Amino acid sequence: MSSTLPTNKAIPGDDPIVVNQLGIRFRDYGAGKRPSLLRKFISTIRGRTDLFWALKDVNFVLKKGDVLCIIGRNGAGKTTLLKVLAQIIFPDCGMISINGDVSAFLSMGLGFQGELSGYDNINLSLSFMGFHRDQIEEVVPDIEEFSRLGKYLYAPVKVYSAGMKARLAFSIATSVNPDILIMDEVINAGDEEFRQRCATRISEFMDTARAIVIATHNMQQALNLASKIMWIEKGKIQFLGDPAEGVKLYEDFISKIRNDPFYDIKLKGTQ
Amino acid sequence: MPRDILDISSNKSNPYQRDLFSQLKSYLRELYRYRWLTITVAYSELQNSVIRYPMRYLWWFLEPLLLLLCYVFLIKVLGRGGPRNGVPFPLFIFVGILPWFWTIKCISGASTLVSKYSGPISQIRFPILTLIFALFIYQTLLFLASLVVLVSVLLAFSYWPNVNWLYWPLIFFVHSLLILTILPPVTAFSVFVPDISKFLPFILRLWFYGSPILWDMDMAKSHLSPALKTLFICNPISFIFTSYRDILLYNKSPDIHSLLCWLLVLIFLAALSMIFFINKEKSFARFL
Repeated sequence: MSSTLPTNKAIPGDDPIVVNQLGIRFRDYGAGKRPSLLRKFISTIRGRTDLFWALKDVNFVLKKGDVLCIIGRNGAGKTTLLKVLAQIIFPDCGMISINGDVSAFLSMGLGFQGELSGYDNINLSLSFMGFHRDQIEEVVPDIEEFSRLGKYLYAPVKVYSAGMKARLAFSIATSVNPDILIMDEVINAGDEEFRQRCATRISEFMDTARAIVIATHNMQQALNLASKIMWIEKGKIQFLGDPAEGVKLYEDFISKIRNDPFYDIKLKGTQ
Repeated sequence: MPRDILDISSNKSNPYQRDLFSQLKSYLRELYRYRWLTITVAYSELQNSVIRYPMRYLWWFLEPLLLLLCYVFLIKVLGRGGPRNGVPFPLFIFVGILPWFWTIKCISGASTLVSKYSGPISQIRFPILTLIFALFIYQTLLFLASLVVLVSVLLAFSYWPNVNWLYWPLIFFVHSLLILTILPPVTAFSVFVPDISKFLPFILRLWFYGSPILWDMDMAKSHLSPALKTLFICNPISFIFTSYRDILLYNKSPDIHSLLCWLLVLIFLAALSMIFFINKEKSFARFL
């Protein structure tokens, strides 16, 4: 299958995120299709491909100040979309315009090194985000204050509990002031007190950031935070718009699928 | 003000620019911007290599010393291998084995580099070539530490510094270029063709026996057929290791003409290898 290369045609406007006809293909690992030379050979002879569209025909625009919550079942394409927005994965077709610095927080820590201390991991993680020594020194007090890990920051990360790692990871990811913040589920981590502080910090970001994109399974959180809801299913946008309406549609879908396992086949999709 | 499609911000390169020159220019700018990452990763690798062991940095010097002792045991106790051109055999091997270990540790590290840093690579965009430079710096620092042991052993065997030792930085530079030529494709292929990690130990072993580490070029010239001799001479490691031995053991200057030729060839190949890597690294995250 031939892929359409992205073009360099400019999309006018100053919106933080503009996505147009975005498409991403991945290798299909379903039904035990592990990659092998033999499988590749057979596919080539049959003229077939093991690729499938993880996202297709995705179009949306985020205006300044928008908070977009992406909802959908596991494997729907939420994380893939976040990775494309964070420029980690490049699309097979379509166009994306991103105006502003992006900070992505897709999982717990940028691969923390267990043997190293919290401070060393702060240094390492911020370096991966493109920070220089002076800039790191500037934000470390904020990370110390927000994470409230105290003397544990001197201890190796391998002795941290999952909650402590979550505190450190969230504190590092939000220590910067990005124009666009991209998050995947992660504010559900940590204890109740920390979750509240995370929510407060997200609210602060909503005042300063140009746009926020969050993928979540927590509908209440989506309703509280979002100015727009995107429901993705089978790699396609099923709904984009008012949060209350989007959540209602999604919950209806979930209740229908509970009663009728084949209901989702009727949905528009790519797979 | 609207920016081009698929970028992004003023301080990041546009990954979709098609023009190779501008793509490279912006990539180099990004490499410079991420220079602190190279230093931090190299430092964390150094820390990781010793932090679990109470003897810590002493291991940098102990490892090469123990290696030397192994060869002394092999040669003295098992009674194999007489002097080579008047040089004690353990010393003859030691001068070759240290740069060899530096080379293979870099290559083996490159083959696992992307899986080791899969966390950051799959979560954030940064020039992955910085990781290769970090690996190279980390292994080079270990190699330089092992040279302290080498020089001590040379002095113990009454091999005093001479003017030819001044060629060492040039040979080291050519050797570094060779390693930097090999690392990017090994890293890239380890992502796209994981089987490479199975092949690599055999390829490195073959390369070990085909390089003048346990033997020297004079032996090769006298024992091999012309075709094999040409193959051995085309092996850049042969020339580099012979040069190390010439200056450190035989008080001879290296073949400067050949050294400069290899320098030019390797600069060209290293540049090609890095361009290849820059082109490929965009799709790494899909394979993780």
